[in-house]
Amino acid sequence: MDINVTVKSNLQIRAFYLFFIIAGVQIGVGIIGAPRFVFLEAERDSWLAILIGFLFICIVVGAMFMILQQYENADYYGIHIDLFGNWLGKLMGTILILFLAGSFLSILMTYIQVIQIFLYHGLPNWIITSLILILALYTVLGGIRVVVGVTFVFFIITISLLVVLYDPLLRLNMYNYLPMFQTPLPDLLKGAKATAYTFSGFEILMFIYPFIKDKQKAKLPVYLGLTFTTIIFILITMISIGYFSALGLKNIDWALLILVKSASFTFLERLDYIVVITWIMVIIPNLVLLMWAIAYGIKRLYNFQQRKTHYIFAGIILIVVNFFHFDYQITKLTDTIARISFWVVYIYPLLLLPIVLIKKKRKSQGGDNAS
Amino acid sequence: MRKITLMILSMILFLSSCVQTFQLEDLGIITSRGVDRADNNDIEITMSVLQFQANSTKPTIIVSGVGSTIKGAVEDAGKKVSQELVPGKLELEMYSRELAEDGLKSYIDTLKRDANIPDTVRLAVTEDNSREILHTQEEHISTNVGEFLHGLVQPGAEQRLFPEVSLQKFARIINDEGIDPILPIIGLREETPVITGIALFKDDKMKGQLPIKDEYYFTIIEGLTQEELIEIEIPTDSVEKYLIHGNGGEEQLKIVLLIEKGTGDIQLTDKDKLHFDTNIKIELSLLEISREYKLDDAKALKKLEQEIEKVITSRYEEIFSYLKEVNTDVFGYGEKYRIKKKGGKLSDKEWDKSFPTIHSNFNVNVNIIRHGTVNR
Repeated sequence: MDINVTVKSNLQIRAFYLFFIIAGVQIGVGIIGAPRFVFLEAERDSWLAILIGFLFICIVVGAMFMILQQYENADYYGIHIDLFGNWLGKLMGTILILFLAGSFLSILMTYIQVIQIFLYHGLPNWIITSLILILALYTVLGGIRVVVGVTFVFFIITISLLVVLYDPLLRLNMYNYLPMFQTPLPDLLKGAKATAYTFSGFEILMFIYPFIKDKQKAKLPVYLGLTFTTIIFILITMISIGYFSALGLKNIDWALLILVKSASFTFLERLDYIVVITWIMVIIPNLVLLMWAIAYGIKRLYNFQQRKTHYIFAGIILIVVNFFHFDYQITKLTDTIARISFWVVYIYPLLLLPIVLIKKKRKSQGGDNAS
Repeated sequence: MRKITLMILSMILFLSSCVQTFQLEDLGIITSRGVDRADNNDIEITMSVLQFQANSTKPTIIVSGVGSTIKGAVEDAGKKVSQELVPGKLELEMYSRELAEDGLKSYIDTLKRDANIPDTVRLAVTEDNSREILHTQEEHISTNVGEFLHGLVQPGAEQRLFPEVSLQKFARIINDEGIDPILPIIGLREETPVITGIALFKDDKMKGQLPIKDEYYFTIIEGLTQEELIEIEIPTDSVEKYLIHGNGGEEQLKIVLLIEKGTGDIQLTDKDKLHFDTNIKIELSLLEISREYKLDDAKALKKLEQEIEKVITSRYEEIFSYLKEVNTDVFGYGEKYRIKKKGGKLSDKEWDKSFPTIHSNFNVNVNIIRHGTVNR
């Protein structure tokens, strides 16, 4: 297996699309329930906690870029092989793929749960899953360029959904924000950690990087994407804090969906139904990017055809979703993924960076000695 | 490849029929409902249901059911109609006074938990029981009873009858420390439902009530008052010298004013002794006055404003002492105290104890900005 990837020029994408990929993959199902998790820890100063989280992911992304720049055109899979050798490297790659599959499942299950609570109580999991997977499969079979295209188009459409938030914005209770700056630092850090699940997703950068055409321009769109997500996240969290009571927000599972419940127009009484349905356009980019990364990884590691992986993976997911019946199972799945994602997405790149740097230094020294 | 894709895509057509269908003709849409206490601790629920059937004479029917829970009672009522009852467009939920005094938390819970119930549903308390109100004969009101009741409690359109209290707002205020909610009281007058008073709550329990004419005292503090009529009576003695034709033997000068803008602001002045300043600013336009008055004289106008201020201030003080008596902080003094407190936390228990001891100065500032097309 090659460490560096050679990508045909017709498969390459412009760096500018990284903005939509990063923001699209971050704003997913996590943000519906995120205000509660941050508020549980950081209370009124949640926005500070989110900002701390944002600074931290900026550092992580910086580390990711430094790792990537040590190589010509590599991704996580190639870097693992280079650092840990063939066997261990493949094992690490496989673990990563399993993590991606886990995130895929948790996103899907959370969305299914929302649909079952808001719309169709009795609809079995596998039917919703089939409907979503047909859409996802159709997209990923088109290849990386279609995946990125879908991310771009759906991002533009779904951002317009946020306009609906004007209604709760008008009914805020400003006193809920006061007094400010009272939360002690440990709580703020805990709040920042609670943003991990929502903010995660940007690890896709480590998989998609070889496909970027103009790599020197890649940094700006990525950081802009992160900033955009942060702004949206802070906005939704602050509106939730102002709109709900402190005790209320602690008990609300889907804060964002409850926020849109209060908006109502003469021609459209219940906006929340529309938002729940349209939210599929928010999670489809998540799902297809993950599916693509999984199939591509299996192709890289085991030289297995991508198309076949997609079908097999879809089949497995279709079976697995039937095992989830209860609320607490889904909560547990999401919690577990959130905890793992903190280590895989946030800590792991920081650990990897020194290893990469040391290895490179040794290599260049070794090269000097030989000459 | 293309065949497979086509096959998969055609599955969408078949799968979509797995979804439960809701045909409008088969649905009974609940627009208003009233909750009363029945025998043996059961709940009786009366609902105004909208139906879409070609051969029916009336667009709405009133159904009722009994059960130990709200959902159970709705289920029971569902047996009496041919359609499936759906709460998706519930606009008003009323509770009898008896239930409100025992606490509404358990009833609010089902409203919040069910994703099908809109957050915009308005809440109200009924004077006696809600059964009677929903059974109002349609001759007395021009439209069907569900819509009529919703029109009563929905502010905005023609006149602001009551500050808007939606489910979301009520649920929020119950949980907020240092502020308590109010709800409108609906009663029957000459067999027509009207808003008769303001129910004062301590968290989710109704503790007292005030007449509806005091309603603007509440909206001003909330800063929501606009275009609202108030009637004020001031003693003629105090302004006698500005009356053009004397007092004419009347003891009270009756004035009708329109509130153009009213704002209220509560300030904590002494944190330890719990002293507050309540600053009220009202801009009025004069619509009616029972005796001719020298309105073109700046001094005379000033005197009139002062007299109005006196009346409003004394009424505020009365309301305030009544609030302290029943211990409900609907103006939200506790909230103003909480934000000044270190840590920003205030427990309900703590405020329960301190609220009856707080003190507030009411500084009312009234300005008459217009007095119509004549200046007498």
